[in-house]
Amino acid sequence: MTAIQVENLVKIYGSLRAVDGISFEVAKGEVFGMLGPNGAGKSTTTEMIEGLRKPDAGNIHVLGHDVLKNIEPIKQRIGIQLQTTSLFQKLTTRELVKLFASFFKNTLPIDEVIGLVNLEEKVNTASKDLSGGQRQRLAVAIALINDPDIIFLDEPTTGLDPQARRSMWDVVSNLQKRGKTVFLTTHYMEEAERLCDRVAVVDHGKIIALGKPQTLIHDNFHETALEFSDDERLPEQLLTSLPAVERVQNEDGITTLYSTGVARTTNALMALVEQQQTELRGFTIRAATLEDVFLKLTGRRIRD
Amino acid sequence: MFVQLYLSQWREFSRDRMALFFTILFPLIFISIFGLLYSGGSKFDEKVGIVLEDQGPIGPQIASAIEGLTKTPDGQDPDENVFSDMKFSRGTANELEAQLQNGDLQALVIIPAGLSDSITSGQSASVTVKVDQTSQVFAPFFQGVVDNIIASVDQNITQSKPMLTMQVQSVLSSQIRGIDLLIPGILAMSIMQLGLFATAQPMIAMRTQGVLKRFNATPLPRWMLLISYVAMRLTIGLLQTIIIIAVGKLMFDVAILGNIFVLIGWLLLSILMFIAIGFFVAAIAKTEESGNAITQLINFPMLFLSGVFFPVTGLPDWLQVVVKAFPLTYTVDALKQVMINAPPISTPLVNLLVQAAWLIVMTVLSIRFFKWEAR
Repeated sequence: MTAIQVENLVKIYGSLRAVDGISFEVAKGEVFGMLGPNGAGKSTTTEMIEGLRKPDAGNIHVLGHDVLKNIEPIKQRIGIQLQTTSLFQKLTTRELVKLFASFFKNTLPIDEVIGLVNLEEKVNTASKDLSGGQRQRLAVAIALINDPDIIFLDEPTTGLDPQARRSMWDVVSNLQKRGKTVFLTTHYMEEAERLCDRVAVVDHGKIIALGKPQTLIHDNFHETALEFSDDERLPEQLLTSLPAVERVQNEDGITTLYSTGVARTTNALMALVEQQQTELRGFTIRAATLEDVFLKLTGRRIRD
Repeated sequence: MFVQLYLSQWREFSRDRMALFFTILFPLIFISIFGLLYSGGSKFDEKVGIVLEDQGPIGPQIASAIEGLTKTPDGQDPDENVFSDMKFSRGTANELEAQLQNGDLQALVIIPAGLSDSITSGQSASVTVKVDQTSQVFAPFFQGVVDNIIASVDQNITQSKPMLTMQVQSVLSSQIRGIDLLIPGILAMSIMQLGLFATAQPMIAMRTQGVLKRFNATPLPRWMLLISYVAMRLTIGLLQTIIIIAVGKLMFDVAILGNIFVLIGWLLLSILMFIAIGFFVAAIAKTEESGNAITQLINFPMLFLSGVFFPVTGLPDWLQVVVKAFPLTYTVDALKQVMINAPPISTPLVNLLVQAAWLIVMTVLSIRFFKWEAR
């Protein structure tokens, strides 16, 4: 069963094609992520699906309804957390959840929703006095108040410290366990790998890869990544000719070798370093990640 | 839905100390300060000279009507007539102008020769009022009163009813003190600031901070949000009114002379008009800063020139033209008329039409230009 269906979505701002022909489907009960750098078109896409922005071309169906023609029944059944939500500053957590509850026909009990995001201790705190993470969780609580079939989370962990981020991940995992469809955007590949059943990697308004995180990684890499930075910049042709090296990537002063034989490459690399009389800093060996996928497809890293 | 929206806005407002200060305390501070300045039996004791050069019947009527300001109508307390201590003297233009120059007189009324002839032959004629501009309270006030006397004489001539003294007395019977004039002015000021500060600013903030966008993502209809928003402002406006009138009554014994239902009608019209103006500001201002600037640009000229603190009749002619365009002028005038029977500047019909016109035009423009989303 399809929760969200998007076909050839286009949004143009002036001369910029912010969303440039995006198509995908999200199944019910799935956690679907859009991963990409800032300005890739994630939020614009999300807001078009939510009915907050009109696309310049394309079709969107949510829960079987056409978003462009019949948004009202959809609004009752989706929950939305915007990238930045500021609410009435002086209202408490409970008052704000109650306010939003009054907008919907069917709602969950207010305390249950506050419990779902672990804000029980802050029910009587004014929203301006909540921390960034607590405010994000309040925004999620408000998104959950109508017991929605689909929950949209736009960059739910941006700007949060690691602990607040884990706390938000727990909330999303719980939603998944309750059988909810979750549509989230993020520019943290770790978040996408960890939370999402499927990921659409987007850049410049286009989907450049779509699939399960592990599949995306395996499809692009059967290699292991060796990562280091060196002051002298070892010549790239020397690195490429090292044994078992498939590809070399240079970005932000960090060199990544994708190798099919870690031991052979490492030994040869060390010999090369000695011969060139240079030094390596931060030498790591790791499995490929979505970051590597993005790097391979775009030549850039996701973050900035 | 409505109840929750209304309650939420009420909580947001009542927990905001700045908003409370400006809507409730600020007008009260004004009343207290000016009330203490104006009250305490401070009457006009200025000396006024009258030069009567007109040989016909109308000039003496005007002169005696002005001199009649000191007389208090029967059955009313002379202490409540602010003019009862004024002194009048007659003389020639030359000698009285000299007295005005050296400060022996604070005002001079010159009724020129041939005035009666001009008027009876259907031509216009004018009475000159010269005032010592250093007496800031008296000068515009006296000018306003003389204007009204002349207006009533005019009216009598055109209607050919020789009831001049009665007309003048009806102007006088209100026994206006400074504080009486101030309360309607402060009330009008509060209503204007409600529209500007308490309507425009929070709406711009809700848009720039994305609250409107968030509401838009729910099934909440926009009209419901707008109705609750206006209802909330109406409540604050009526609350301000009750407090200001109650304080005026308790502290300075300022009574409402007119019909209370007529007053409520004027208040509702004015509040709605300024809410509409507030929405217009919210419609054209892109940021909170520009909203602030526009608000102040509207607030200050109107505050000082629309008759809140001193009568508009004392202003120079070119400024009168500007003042006639301000909506607050009509609010102040209407409230003064109904609350203290003050001499009218415009007729009630004009006040009604001008304010209704502002309300309609501002509403239409707001609907046309209002944006629900920033950017």
